[in-house]
Amino acid sequence: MVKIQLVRVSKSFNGNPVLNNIRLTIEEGEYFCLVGPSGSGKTTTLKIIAGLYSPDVGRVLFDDKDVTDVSSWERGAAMMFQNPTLFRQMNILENVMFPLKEKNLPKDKSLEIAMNLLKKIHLEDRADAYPDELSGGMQQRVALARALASGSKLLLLDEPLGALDARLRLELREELRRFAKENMLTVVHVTQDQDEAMAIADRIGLLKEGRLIQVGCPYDIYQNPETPFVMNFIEGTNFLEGYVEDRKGDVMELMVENVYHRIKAYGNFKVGNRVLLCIRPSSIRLHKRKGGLLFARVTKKNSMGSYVVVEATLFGPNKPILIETSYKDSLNYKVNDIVSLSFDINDMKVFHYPLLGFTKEVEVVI
Amino acid sequence: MKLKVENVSKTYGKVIALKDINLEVKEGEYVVIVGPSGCGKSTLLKVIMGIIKQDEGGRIFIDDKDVSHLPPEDRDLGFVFQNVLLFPHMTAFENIAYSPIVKDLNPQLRSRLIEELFLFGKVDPWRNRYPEQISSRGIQQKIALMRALATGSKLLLLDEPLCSLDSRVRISLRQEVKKIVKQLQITAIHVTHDQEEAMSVADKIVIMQKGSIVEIGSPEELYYRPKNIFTAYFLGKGNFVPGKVVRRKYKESAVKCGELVFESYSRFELGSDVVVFFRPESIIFEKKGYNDFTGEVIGKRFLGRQIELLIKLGETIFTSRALRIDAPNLDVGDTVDFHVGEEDILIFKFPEGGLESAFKLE
Repeated sequence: MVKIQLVRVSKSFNGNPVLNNIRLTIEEGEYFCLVGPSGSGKTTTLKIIAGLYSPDVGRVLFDDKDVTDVSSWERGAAMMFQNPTLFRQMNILENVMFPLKEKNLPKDKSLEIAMNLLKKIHLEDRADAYPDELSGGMQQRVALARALASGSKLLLLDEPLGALDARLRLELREELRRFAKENMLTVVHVTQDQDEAMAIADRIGLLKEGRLIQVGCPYDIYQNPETPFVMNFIEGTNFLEGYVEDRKGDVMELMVENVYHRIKAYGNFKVGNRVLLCIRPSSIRLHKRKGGLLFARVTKKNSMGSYVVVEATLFGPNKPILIETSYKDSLNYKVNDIVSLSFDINDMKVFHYPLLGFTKEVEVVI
Repeated sequence: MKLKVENVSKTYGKVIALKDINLEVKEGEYVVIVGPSGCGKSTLLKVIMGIIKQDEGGRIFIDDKDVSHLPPEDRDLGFVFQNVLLFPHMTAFENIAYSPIVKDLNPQLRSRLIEELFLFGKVDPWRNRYPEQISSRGIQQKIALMRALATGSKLLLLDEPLCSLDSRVRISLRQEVKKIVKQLQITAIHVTHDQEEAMSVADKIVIMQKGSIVEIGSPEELYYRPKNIFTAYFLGKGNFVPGKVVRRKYKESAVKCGELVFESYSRFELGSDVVVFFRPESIIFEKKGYNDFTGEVIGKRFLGRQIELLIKLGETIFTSRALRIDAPNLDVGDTVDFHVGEEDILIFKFPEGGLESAFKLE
């Protein structure tokens, strides 16, 4: 039973602000993912929850109780990092039993708890193996079991799958979520992989430069991004620059990139406002010549297996646009074909042109 | 430059790291070698580089020249590694200029080459910085790539070059690397554990497992028409259903999996134990008169660009994936009809030791 609240938490290191006024509630039993570019404050947030850092300003509450001044030890959160830090001189059963020693349980009781955990991670028949004899993925599972041996219901994960092979990561992330749900854990999972977050989180929190810009379930954060940055960071988007030509009710007519057609979109900006029109590659349909609104020439096709990324250059502004189609649909289009693009008005997002400039807003620093 | 690897094996005592590898890379091709940890992909790259010596009998040819016994410096290759290995006491410019100077290239040609590379890589703003003054590892790695290209070598070897970078950065940088390599008409061999990275940049993918090459082909071929069941599993999500061949006429077969019957093509004998495989994208929500099924939606997941459905028929659970704009409007609890095209179904021999061991990643 752990509900976590961060109340106006700020933190700086040597005068450099790292977290700025974070307000966040993570519900009991929730699987919460923190995402954001490197240096955005994800790990610092996690460490403040764990009690490894104390905030300069603000409070941390567990189950509505202020734990800001409670030591990390007493908070008792289970933690797991990118590199499994197992004791190499102990076999994996001893590793998992280690946190139980502190509890002065009878030996057969702690043995039972440990064996149960090993069963849950499918390693019961390797109980007497040493960490070095196990693969990276297995070691990471042992680290998970050990983290939970203390009986903690709060699990804090810092890039737990970051060091593993990509294919294995796909399997283990599902396992991690299933494990958390079966054991009714509250999980805070830091990752820089937004696909991972989309696939397993109940809710996602997106950090940028120490600020929590948006919190929501995957569907919400994907469909209703609050800033161009969020839209671009989660899966990516095309950007078209333009201004509002006309508006009737909440339907605006936009002139973008000086293309011939006006584009209709929802919003209630003033006529003359400079805007960014964002359309995700997966929201665009391709047509042979007629059928769409904007015309373009196919310049590249790039198969991702599950879908195909088509790059086409808009006539007029000469601007490259990305479109994602199914493999079967992509077979209808070749490089150099002239195509037209269509998109649903519900899949478009219009934002005010960023005050600090486009690059400052959306760029993910390489 | 082209490359040929012939009968290359490498053993360490009893451990077999590479087993009879044969591989040809054409001029200008971008080849990605991919496989799980410990499959031998890095060892193979190091044998090509010349820093690991292959066992007796194996040979490496670069542009038809036998380089099997040449030291790395005489093989005329460019390298980029997972860890950025720039000379720390040299600026970005000096790092990139290092090889042309050592090779004693004529000064005019040299400065033109270097300027071109700065332009290509868009790393000009960092020209006079030392590696430690460049905070971004992505930029550091790009400078390392430029330095490798400055050797003038037309064969570039990349060993997990993007592995230590953020996922977002990785996605944009991998496209950039491919673009640069293609513009300069370089042959590249890129090793990675990331099947998605492989799919997105490769002209040709080489799948390795346990020291051997499992399969070679284009990304589409290997994703939709793999010849090996491990390839099918490794490159992405798939539906794998064990069954038995119950009918066969020429190449047309019917496979019975519990209550379900799949019609497709194969050459397995009547009664063979097989596995039916198709991608989640191959499930179509309509009826066609054969290979039609009816099931219940038991799970739905929003993945962003795609919607994933879990559909239960008896004991079997199928995964379907469709792009959001193509996806049917279904919810958990709904009954659904679907079809899988016979050309989208592949039939594999049931692996000895079972599916689980055939799919072993660790």
